[in-house]
Amino acid sequence: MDIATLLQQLINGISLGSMYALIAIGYTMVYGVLRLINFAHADIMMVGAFATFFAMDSLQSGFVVATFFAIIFSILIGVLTDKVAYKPLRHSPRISLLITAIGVSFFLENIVNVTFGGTPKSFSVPEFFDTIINVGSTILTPTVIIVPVVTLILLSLLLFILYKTKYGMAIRALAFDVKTVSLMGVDANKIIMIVFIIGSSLAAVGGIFWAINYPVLTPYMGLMIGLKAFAAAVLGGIGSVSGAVLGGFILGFTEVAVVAFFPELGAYKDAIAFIFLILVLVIKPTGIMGIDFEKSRF
Amino acid sequence: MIRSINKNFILYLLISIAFVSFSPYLFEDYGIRILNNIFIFIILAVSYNLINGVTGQLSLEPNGFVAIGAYVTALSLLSEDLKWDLFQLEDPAPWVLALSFDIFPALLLSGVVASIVAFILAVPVFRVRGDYLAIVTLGFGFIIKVFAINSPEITNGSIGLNEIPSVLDSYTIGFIAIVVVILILNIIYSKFGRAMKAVRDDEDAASAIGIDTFKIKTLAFVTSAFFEGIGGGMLAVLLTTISPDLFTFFLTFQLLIIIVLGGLGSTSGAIIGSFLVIGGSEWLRFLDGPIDIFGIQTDAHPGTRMVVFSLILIIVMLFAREGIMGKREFSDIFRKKR
Amino acid sequence: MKISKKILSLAAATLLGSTSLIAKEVKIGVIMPMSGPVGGYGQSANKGLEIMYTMNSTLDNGDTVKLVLMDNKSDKIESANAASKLVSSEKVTAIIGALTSTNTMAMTKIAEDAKIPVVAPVATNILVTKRKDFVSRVCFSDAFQGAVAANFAVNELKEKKAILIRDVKLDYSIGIAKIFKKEYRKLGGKVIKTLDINQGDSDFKALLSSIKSLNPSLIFMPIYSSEAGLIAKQAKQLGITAKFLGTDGMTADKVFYQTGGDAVEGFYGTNLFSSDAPKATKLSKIFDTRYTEIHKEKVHPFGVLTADAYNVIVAAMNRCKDPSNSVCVNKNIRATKNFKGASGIITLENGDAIRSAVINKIQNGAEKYLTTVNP
Repeated sequence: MDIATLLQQLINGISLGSMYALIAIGYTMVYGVLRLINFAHADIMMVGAFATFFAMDSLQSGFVVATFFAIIFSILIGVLTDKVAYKPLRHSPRISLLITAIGVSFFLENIVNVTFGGTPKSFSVPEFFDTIINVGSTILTPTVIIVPVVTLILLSLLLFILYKTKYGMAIRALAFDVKTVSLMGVDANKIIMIVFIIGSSLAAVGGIFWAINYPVLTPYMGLMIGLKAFAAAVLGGIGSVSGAVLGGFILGFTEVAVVAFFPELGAYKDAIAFIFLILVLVIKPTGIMGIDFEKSRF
Repeated sequence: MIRSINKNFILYLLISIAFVSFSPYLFEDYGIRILNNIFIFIILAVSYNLINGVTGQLSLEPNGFVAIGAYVTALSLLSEDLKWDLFQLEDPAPWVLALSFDIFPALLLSGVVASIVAFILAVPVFRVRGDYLAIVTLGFGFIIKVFAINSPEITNGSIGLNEIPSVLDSYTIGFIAIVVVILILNIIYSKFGRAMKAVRDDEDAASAIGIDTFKIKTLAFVTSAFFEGIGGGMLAVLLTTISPDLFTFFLTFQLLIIIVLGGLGSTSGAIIGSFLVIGGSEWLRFLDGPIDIFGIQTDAHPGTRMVVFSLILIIVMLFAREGIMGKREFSDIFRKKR
Repeated sequence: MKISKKILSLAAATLLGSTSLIAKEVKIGVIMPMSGPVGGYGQSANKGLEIMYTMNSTLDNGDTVKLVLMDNKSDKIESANAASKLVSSEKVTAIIGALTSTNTMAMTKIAEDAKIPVVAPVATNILVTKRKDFVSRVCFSDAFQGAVAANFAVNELKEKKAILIRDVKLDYSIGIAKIFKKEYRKLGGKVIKTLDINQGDSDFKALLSSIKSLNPSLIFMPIYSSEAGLIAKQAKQLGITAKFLGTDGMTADKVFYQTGGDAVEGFYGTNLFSSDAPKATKLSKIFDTRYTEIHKEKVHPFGVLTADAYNVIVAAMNRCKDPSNSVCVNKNIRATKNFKGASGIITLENGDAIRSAVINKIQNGAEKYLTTVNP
């Protein structure tokens, strides 16, 4: 394979990896504080994409405005989900929470299905993102640069919040032990809400990026992506933010690599995430960053 | 064996037999189809209940075993000619062509293959507990589906299999369901069942009093898989067409709802749950749009049914977590106070 | 004496009255994807069906035809369930459906066992009608379409080397791919590489990048609209300059044009029908006028073919003494010869329609008719 194609594939991998990373972070954070695999998370991503579509299509707003609208809307949905469905079950057995999360996931998917109709929607990508930049014989589009850069910026922001602010410390403490931390005067519910705000906004951004890159939206698009992002989070070590990002990139690269080097196996690429999942869980369930639930987090 | 055969138990048995026997007269064709669906789900639910509710291991794998069962039965029932026709992607593997059984041996084979797979999986699965267990089983469920998609010489890939002969009638399905329930109840009321409950209630304590927890968990898992495999085979015959998309997490989810709604650990709860969930989602079908002549009359909104369904689920989870029966069985309710 | 005579005549009158007053209702089941990944197909098909129905909803003997529409949500299990319901509780006499080959094949056995005729409007996979006595279609089979595509590639596009992209989730795609390969080889062409995708995929960059390195001059992709649109767009982004050849599923949903944008300009495709082709029958002219009047767009192939599926069934019903006798209706459907439908002249042979295909080129965001290929 020549250098140009190699570079091309590398860029594809970075692009894909960043999107997985953005969504994986949300899974991992919610798991850290709530010990809940938030099945509905991927659907927040889908909601973000659809909200942007809706804003541009029905409300005729510009792209940037639509993005803000989408992010705020997703945050609302995320926080609402927590308040209505998860909070009442804070002290219930895990299985109840799990099932509720799945219920919320189905609910979101189907509400979008009913509202927008189940047929695939074409997302109108702003012209800017389609401009072709030639670097030698490698072809780039702006998204390829924007997505990873934005991801890294957001990640740094997040780490800053987590390690250098009071709220961040509260989040990390909460992930450690809910009861003790509450005893110390930390409003657990408020902190959890912040976690959902962060997670949902990241998912929304991920959704928008996804829509730009693959402008066909369906209500169930979150499913597959969510599964893979979740696998990425587990791979990196569920509970660890940097792990989630790491896992996201590894998954993204591997998927691209498999198709690049073994194009006949193109149809298998979805299996990669699952293979990783199983391997990780059988060999080292705590993932690459090796976070043990009983010990520390993030 | 059930030493003290409750008087009530015989009563329930008779009622069930009567119900199954007379159902064709009570319901029309389409109703029978739904009833058959319910019976099959009863089989799946009570066996899923065994590992989840009775042994307390949150496993999310039934869709995998159901898939295995379905494919084994389907492949056994399809004639060789039909296989040559159906397999478009790649030629069917020779042993697949050779596979040919009647319905009952096919179902048994389905169960056996599923339990073998379960046995192999038990080793890695039960190394972990709690959430990890859930994730691992979820992962295996996917892997089985991915395997189905990517082994076109065995499963015909994503397209799946059509034209499975419809060789089961509602009597047979109903009776098999009754038999399975009785078998499961036997297990639950045996010393194995008690050990399973002990593992559920406190695994460490159980281990401390000498129960081999790994053996018990594996036993529950394998038994569960066996019946789930049989249920899967029956499902294939009922639907006459299967594809990997049928065996997604949604199937596991439905079973989960059924046993939680009915009450984790309660077999009778699982039965009630099956009626409610499967019957309910059929009944709610009308929400998917009043379709008259031209399709869209009063704004048919396909998908409304699932919205309502998920809402009901969330509401149940918020307000009625224990499910309908909690941990009790029918017989418990009517037991006289001592 | 008087009383009984009165009663007798009253009874006789009621009997006579009931048979002539109560015109029977004959039901035709319609299974379509109105939602889900190929929901767009169903919606287009339904548009044509509705128009045809308003034009002709009564049989010659006075009975009214009632359509029972069921949405299979693009899912084959739902198709089977719908067929089951239509056959057993709705008691339909015939079924139109289910558009995609995969969904149609999932339900044909149920109809066959119940001796209910199925007329597929656009399902082209060869297995749909193979070995079935009760399944027919008003479109050609892929045995023909694949050959047409191969022929066009070699003789018109003058390309002897092609890359094949097929969707392994679709019977349709796999079927055409197989036939294309065979026919192409017969004409001296060679498929240098076959690449697989899955319906629902959205990222094809890696796949396309690897194709790019092979320097293709022709890419043949018998796939559906969503994926085709995405591939077109991503191929352009990667700078692939090959010619693209598709089949009827590619342009069937306008999401292809919306997603592909200007990347799909210059694409070629085989199709079942083109409203720009010379109209062969009077009905097709009438239908075309009506359709364009109401929907303000060119007649969609799926729409007009579904209309014809309906027409064929109604014509068959009119030739039966009892139009609700499904066996008789089926016999007459299978015997359709030189029927002047809205899409052209239809003759069925063993359930398959022997008819021509059209070849289009995408120009200015729409199909531009190039030529007709006769069987």
